[in-house]
Amino acid sequence: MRSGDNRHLAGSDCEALLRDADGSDLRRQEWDAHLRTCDRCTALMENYQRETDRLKGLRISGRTPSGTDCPDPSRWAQLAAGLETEEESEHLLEHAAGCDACGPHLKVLLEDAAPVDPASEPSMIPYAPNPEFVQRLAADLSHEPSAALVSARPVSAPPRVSTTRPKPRARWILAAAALAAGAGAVLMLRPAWLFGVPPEQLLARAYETNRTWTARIPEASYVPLVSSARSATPRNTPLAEADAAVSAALDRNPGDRRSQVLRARAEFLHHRYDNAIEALRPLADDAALDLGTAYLARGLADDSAGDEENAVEYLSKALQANPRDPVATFNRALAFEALMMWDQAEAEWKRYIQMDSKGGWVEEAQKHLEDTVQKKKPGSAN
Amino acid sequence: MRMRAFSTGWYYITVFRPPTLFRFVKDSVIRLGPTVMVAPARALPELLSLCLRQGDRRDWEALIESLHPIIFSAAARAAARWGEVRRDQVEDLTQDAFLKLCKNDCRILRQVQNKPEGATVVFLKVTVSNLVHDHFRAERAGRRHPAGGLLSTDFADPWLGETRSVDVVEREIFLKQIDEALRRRLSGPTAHRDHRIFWLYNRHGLTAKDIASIPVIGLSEKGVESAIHRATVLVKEELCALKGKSQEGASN
Repeated sequence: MRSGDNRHLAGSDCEALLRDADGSDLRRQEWDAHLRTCDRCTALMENYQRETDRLKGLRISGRTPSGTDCPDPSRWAQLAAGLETEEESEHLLEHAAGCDACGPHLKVLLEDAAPVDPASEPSMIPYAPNPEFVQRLAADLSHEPSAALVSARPVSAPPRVSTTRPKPRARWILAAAALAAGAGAVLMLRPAWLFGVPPEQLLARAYETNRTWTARIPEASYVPLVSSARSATPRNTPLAEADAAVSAALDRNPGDRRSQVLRARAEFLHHRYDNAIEALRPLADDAALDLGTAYLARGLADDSAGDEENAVEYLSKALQANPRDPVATFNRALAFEALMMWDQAEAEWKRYIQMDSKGGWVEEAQKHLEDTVQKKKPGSAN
Repeated sequence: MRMRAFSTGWYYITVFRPPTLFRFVKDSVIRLGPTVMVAPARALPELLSLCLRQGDRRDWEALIESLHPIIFSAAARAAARWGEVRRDQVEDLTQDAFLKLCKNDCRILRQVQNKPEGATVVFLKVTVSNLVHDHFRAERAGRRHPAGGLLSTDFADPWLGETRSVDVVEREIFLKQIDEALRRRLSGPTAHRDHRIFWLYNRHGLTAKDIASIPVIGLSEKGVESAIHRATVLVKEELCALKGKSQEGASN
C-alpha cells in the first residue's frame, strides 16, 4: 500500500465511483487521491470494473426460443396487471428471472405497457379514431356476441376527408365512378365476407355444428359433444360449403398441399377416416396434426389395431414442431387415454390445463384428468 | 298557391337537382329522427361489465371507443419495434387485436371483468403487445422460410441468424457463480424478491421502473433501485473475493 491514504475503499464506494460517470459525487476527489496512492484499492477498483463489464455481458442480444416449461405468453399480461395470485406471480417471476426466453419477453411487454410519453417517442404514430370500425364491431357484438369473429371483419382505415368540396355534378360523377370501381374491385377480389368464409373456417364451423368427436380439429371453438352415432348426423351446411370451396381450390391448383390437407379434413368430418388417412399419409410432414387426429378418430371409432399408437406418433411430431399447440396436446392426451397409458395421459392433461386458460375445452380436459386419475387408482375397473 | 309552388318545387328538385333532394331527405331524417340521448360517461370496468352481461349497441360503442386509443397506441408502440410502420398497418393491427379480444364470446376480455381500471388497461396493453409481436414474428419467419408455416416461430428463430453476446458455456458458469453468491449473501424475508430483482435487472435488462411496475414486487422505482444496488454490491464483493482467492492460489 502506498503512503498517504487513511481509509480503504469499500465495495459500496467502488460501486458509487463506477456509477459516478460525470464526477459529480462530492467524495470523488477524496477517492481519486486515495486511488493514486493505494495499490490495494486500485486493484479492487479494477476488479470491480471487470465484474461490472462481465455483468453487462450477461444480457443476450438475440431471441432465445421458449422451452416446454415456459408459461403461456398470455400469463405475462395477467402478471403485469396483478391478476395472478401472489403464489402464481412469484412462480412466474421466478421463471422469468431464470429464463432467457421469458425474461427479455417480459421486459419488452412491460416497456410496451408503460404510459406513453410523446416527448420521448416523437416518431409514434398519433392516434386517430375509426368510427366506422367502432360502429360495425359494436353492432356485431351487441347482436351476436359469439358470431363476432365471423362477421366483424377488419374495415379499412377511415377515409381521408378532402378539404375542398367538389361541385354537385362532379360529386355525382365521382360517386358513380367510385361505385363502378368498388363493384369491379369486389368482383375481382371476391372478398371472403361477400363470397364466403375461408374453407378452414367452414370446416371448423362444420365441426362445431355437429361435434361427434372427442378429438379436436384446428380453429374449432368449443362446443359440447353431442353424440357418437353417425346416423344422427344432421344436414351440415358449412361442411357442404367447405367441400365446395376445397374442391374449387383443388380445381384451380391440384398440387396445393394446403388444399389437400383441407380435403382430408373434410373427409374426416364425413367420418371417412380411411380416406382421410390415405390422403394425409403422403403429406405427413406438413400435416402431422391432421394425420394423428384422423388415426385417433379411427382408433376410437373402430378400435383398429395400432391406430392410437400412430396417433401418438404423429401428434408427437406435431408437438415437436409446435410444443404449445393446444389441439395436438389435447388429442395426444386422448390417445394416451385410449392406450390406457394413465401416467402419460395425466401429465398431458395437466400440461394442457396449464397451457389453456379458461373455457369449455379446459373444462373438458379437467374432466378427463379427473377420470384419468380415478382410473389410475389401484382396484379401478381399468 | 302554396300547393302549386310546392309541386313545382318538388318537380324541380326530383328532376333537376338530385343532390338537393338527397340533402333534403338527409336533413329531414336528421331533423325528424329520434332524439339522441347522451348517456352519462361510465368508468371502464363498469362499462366492460355491462357489455359482457347484457350490453346493447350503444354500450358496446362506448366501450370500443374508450378502448380504441389504448389498443391503437399499444399496437403502434409494439409495431415500432419491428421497424418503420404506416398508419394503415397500425389500424389493421388494432382491428385484428380487437377481434382477438372479442373472439370466443370475449374470452380474453372476460379475464378483466370487474377488475380495476388500471389493471384492465395494463392487461390489455400487454395482451395487444403480445399479439403484435406474434404477428411480426410469424411474418418474419414466413418471409425467410416461405415453404414454412410448419415450424413454430420459436423453433425457427435460432435459424434466423440470432447470435449470443458471450460464449454460452462461460456464461453458464458465470451465472452459477452469481447465483451462489446471491444465495450466500442475501438473507431475510426479502431475499427471494431481491434475488429475482437482481436477475431481472442484470440478466434481462429490465429497468427499475419496469420492475416496479410489476404489482407483486411491491416496491417503488426507488425501492427497486435500492434493492438492485444492494444486491449488486454484494455480488461484486463476492466475485472480487473469489477472484482474489483464485489469484492467491495461483501465486502460491
